[in-house]
Amino acid sequence: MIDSMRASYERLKIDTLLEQHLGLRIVPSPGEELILGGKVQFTATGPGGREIMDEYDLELRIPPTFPDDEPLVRETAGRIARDYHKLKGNHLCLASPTRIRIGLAQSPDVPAFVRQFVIPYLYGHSYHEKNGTMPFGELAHGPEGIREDLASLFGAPGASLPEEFIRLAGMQKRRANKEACPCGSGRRLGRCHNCSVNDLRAKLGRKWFDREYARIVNLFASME
Amino acid sequence: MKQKSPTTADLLDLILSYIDIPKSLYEKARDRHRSLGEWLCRESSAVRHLNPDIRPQGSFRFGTVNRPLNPDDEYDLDNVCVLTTLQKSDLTQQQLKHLYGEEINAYTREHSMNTPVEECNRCWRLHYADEVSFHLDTLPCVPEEQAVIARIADSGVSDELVRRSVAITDRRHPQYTEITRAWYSSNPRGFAAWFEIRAALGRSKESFKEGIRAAVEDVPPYEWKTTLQRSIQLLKRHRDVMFQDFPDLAPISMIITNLAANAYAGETDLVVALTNIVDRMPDFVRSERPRVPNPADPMEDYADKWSRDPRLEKSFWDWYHALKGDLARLPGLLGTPALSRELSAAFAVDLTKSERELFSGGGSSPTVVVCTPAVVIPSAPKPWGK
Repeated sequence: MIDSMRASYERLKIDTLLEQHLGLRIVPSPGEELILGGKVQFTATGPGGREIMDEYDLELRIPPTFPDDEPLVRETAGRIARDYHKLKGNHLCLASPTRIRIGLAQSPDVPAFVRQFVIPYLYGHSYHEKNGTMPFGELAHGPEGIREDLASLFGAPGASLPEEFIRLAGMQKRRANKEACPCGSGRRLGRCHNCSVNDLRAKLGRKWFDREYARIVNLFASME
Repeated sequence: MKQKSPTTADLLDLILSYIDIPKSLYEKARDRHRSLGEWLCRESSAVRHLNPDIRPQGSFRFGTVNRPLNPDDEYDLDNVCVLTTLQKSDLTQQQLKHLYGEEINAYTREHSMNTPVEECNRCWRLHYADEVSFHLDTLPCVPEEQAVIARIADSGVSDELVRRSVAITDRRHPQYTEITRAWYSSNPRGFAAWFEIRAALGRSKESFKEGIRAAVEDVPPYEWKTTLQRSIQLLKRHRDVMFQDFPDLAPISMIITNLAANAYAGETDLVVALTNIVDRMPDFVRSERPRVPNPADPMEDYADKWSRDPRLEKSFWDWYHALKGDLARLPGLLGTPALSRELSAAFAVDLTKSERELFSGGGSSPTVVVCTPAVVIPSAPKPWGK
């Protein structure tokens, strides 16, 4: 337990992040979060082959519970408008929480978080500034958007309660397959969207989805 | 003729030139200790018969003093005064503290020092307010008893270090006002002796040549300027700059000095020494208490506050990784305009125009330097919130 602070900094791969982003620095803080501030520069190519090189002033707050809880990111120079995709507290809405946790399941470190979520978001913003459209599309605000995202994650865009997929991924395969598929087809999961549920369950483990389901239910309760 | 491109070593020398203090300041500090020592040994001194032995401690002894970040900040001087013929059983901690305090008070009156002496938990603090502001913490103590010394020696500490153990007074001690053998044990002089052994590993032929005094052996450790001492100055400066807004959270100098001296292996090249010290430092933070033990008394933990305030340990690792990142960046920034910004942010060093021309490629334009590997984003999460 005592050694965990040293080990957790190593797990976060902060040294790699600071090597990759020369404009970022660790900022001391009395809280439990690790705070990084400064410029994030990137060169990125989006789906249409459009290359963008840009930089943003950001503050990243990495909670001690990372990657179970995702970092909060703010843009500090006032370039990203309030009504662009943001959460409470002016934090950037990078992706739905479940998608972030799934994205980080393979490499739960901060460089992966920045690469997979922060830079695509910034690319999207720069692209939107130049072209007035979103390169990757966008979701509805609030719980509706999270549900839309979960539904697409499980390949069932019509599902009305896609969080049920998370619940089923948190159950034993045998038992889950006997339940109704959340896509609304009227069939059992075992004869419907079982592949996407089984794939993710195999990747992240049943316990992970069990915890994730509790988190998502709480999140919806706080929003609805 | 084109000037040779500066190296990382030149850059570290440049930073040190900004933070080093003149030798005269070390001499002034030495004179302050000497003057107090002479006072305690004068004819009418109340402690003269106790054979006081006064020795400097801390960064002025180690040769690791930096110019303060804020010009108004005071330099800290420390010394340890052992009343060599006294024993714990002769008096209470409070009696010793007051006996010594009266002499210190008389010293300030005699020297017309305006600010009153301040009583701290373990020491007395004198404020000097002449052209350079100093405060001096002077720690009264008695030699540690043989039984305790034997116990510490059993844990593997050499005679050379363990014989310097002392028993100190502490106002927070539950038996502060009673005669007892249960005084707190400490070994600042043993730590200093250990530090000097570590620093001596790196006394190169150059430093012998540069020895200012006639006889090399007379050169006090603060004038050695080994790569260990210079590395510690750089580490402390980085710490001072990083924690300007949170000084209470800053890792203490004794932890930095302890870990750096442990990690040092006598490298004579400053870049190599600093790199190795930074790489190895975490290996000397123990996972159990004592987290950062005094090598001259392993039960004395320089990081004892970490268990009461976990923010202090977090701050240590925040600092450590920030330092590592900043040092790793420097070589790649040589010759680029971004170097000036980095030096200012990490070491509060603002280069002159000619230094900028030499080290920073001369330009002051805010060119974007992108070092991040280019990212290809075939698809990405759709943002959803408001």
